Amino acid sequence: VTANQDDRDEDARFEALLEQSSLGAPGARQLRERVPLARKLLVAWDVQGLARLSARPADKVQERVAGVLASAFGEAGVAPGSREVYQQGDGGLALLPAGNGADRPRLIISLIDALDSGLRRVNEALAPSARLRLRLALEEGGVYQAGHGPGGPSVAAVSRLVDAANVRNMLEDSSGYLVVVVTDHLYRDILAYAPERTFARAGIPSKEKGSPGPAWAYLPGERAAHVPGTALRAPDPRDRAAWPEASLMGSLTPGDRAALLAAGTRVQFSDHDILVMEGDVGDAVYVLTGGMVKITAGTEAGAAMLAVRSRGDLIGKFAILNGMPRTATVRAVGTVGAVRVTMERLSALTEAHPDALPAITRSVTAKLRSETERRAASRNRSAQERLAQVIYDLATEYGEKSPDGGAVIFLPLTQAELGELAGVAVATTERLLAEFRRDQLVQTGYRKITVRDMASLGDRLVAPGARPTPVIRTDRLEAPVMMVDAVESTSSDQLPWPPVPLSAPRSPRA
Amino acid sequence: MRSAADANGDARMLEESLRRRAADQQLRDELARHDFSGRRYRRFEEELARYGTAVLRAWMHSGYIFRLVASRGFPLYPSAAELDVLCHDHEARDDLANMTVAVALPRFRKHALIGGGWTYEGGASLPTYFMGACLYVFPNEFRRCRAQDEKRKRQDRLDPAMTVPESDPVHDPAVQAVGNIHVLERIAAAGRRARPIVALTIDGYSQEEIAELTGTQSARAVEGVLYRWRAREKGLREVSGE
Repeated sequence: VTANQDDRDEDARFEALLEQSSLGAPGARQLRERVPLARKLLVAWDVQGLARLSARPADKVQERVAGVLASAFGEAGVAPGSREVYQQGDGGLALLPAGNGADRPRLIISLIDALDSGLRRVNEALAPSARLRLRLALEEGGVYQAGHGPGGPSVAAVSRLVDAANVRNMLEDSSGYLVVVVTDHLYRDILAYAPERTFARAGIPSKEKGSPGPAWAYLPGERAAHVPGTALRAPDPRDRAAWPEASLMGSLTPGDRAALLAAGTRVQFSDHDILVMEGDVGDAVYVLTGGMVKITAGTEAGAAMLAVRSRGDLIGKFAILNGMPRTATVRAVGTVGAVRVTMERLSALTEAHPDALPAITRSVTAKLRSETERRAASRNRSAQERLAQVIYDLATEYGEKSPDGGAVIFLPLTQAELGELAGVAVATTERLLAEFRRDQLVQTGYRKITVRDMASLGDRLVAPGARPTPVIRTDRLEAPVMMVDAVESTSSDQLPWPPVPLSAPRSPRA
Repeated sequence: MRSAADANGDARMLEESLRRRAADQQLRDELARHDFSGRRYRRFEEELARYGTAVLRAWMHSGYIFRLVASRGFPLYPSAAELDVLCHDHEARDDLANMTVAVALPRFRKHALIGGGWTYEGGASLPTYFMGACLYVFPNEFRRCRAQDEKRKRQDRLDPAMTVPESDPVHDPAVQAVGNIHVLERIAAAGRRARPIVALTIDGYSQEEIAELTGTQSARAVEGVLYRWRAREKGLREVSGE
């Protein structure tokens, strides 16, 4: 309340300064008064993709949009007599009463909600290609009558906002029917006090003509993309392809995923490039967007293969979580695409997207758990079971299904590395692979392993007479109890970063 | 012969304009604190836009704007019909004023405010500097309207159903009145300095506004021009025996 009072005092001082300036000189003031200014809430809208439709359905679309808007205005409590509506091309502009103080957030939020549910209602009955998708831009400010319609800087700003390329992209990339974008000062003045809706900052690229500057976007039903400072880049087509379900990216909501990608810098690595060096102090994590990496850790005997990671996996999170030196070396296998997210960005991101935090923690702990499982397995299970398990897991996670029930793993792994993954000596690995080949289970080739029959390989996971062990699908397992407790004991949106003081994972050989 | 009171008045005017410009500087600094963005910048833009719109409308109504842009090296050679439309069709005038201001505002922000093109020492007030930006933009906007009109006319000519009978270019009944034609003749006869002042006075602008619109130093100076014009006209009428 005091902040508001200060703001109002500041406003009054500013108005006084305006009147003392040359704009306040008697002639200038009289001239200004010839152009009466009315404070309004400006609502600009545009129908996405309407230009592509032929004239006849376009009429129909406009009619439907007009209907949805009229009922949304009604639901939000804007009387028909207190609004002016102007149709312009594929969209239009509505002027609503600016209202006073406390009512404004409620008016805007209920308008957005009514519009969202109205669009859903209308679209339910329509074929997917005919569904209405709307961009909405909001601004509050002075409007004057100018020729054939309303004029003024606010009108110009709201028109530019509704047409901004990245607002179009946001709706294009979203599964919803509506994107709402508001100017920075409307957001600061009003919507920041309506925390029940998450608006995310969405810069309008300054190279756009007369850029209205920073703005805030909201995608109902989806968390908005977090774009710190800069605009959404043209989305990488690879980012739109499906993410492996078991990966971290696959477990995030589309909004969190987009936010994570947008928070970082796109980087590329060539074969054998090092993403992360053991012993270094980590300041960033990598989200793999394409290609594959090997994770190795040094032992007295040399580097030991710990794991492979691919598209959708998060790399380097241990060092970030506990601030300790990197525990392993991560090396590119072939060309690797990644998004580098700095520690600051990551913690800002998890603040803005509290739901992403448990998912990240889950992914970290799941990887930890898989290491534990493997160590346990190395004691309780035979070398053959372990190697079969590793191949089975690789085929499930990274393999390409072949029509006859097999899978091809395109992984440039040496037999020694495969053995290291399974905790099996090189000589044993070679012997076991020979056995598998003989039994027609697998076929090995240059940079690839073909699993002929997944079911029979699965059978090898269980030694005769032993208790059947479920297939280890590490990424889908719940986190160890201790971790879950640590996460649940605090309200997830108030978690400090780092969230859980994890101890450094030990090498399986340690 | 200038009286001491006149000299005093001029000194007061000068002092007043310096004070206003100092406040302009303060305003600019205040806006710079917020990176020329946000709510207060929008407020400033709104008032600047209102001012610019009003000034452009008046300049267009009297045709004075064409003299101003020509003096800056952009002669537009408006036809009589174009001048007539700007004089009598307030919607056409408002549209053109609105577009000009909308294009000029971001330019003004970039060059005058952020780029530091406007300074207190430069001698112009913020609104005057802004009108300079508008005059820079106006020729393009005017030509765009002209091209659109041409296109529309061509389309209309191709479509007989759309063609309306050629109307009298002087369609305002008031203009057809003999008295007004006489007034227009008298305005045309006034000198370069007096012409816009007389025209704006007839359009109902106050002397303060006219001072602002024509860049005349003060309302007092406008009054002086009008006084001398009236005296001359009175003399002419007496000679011609009206």
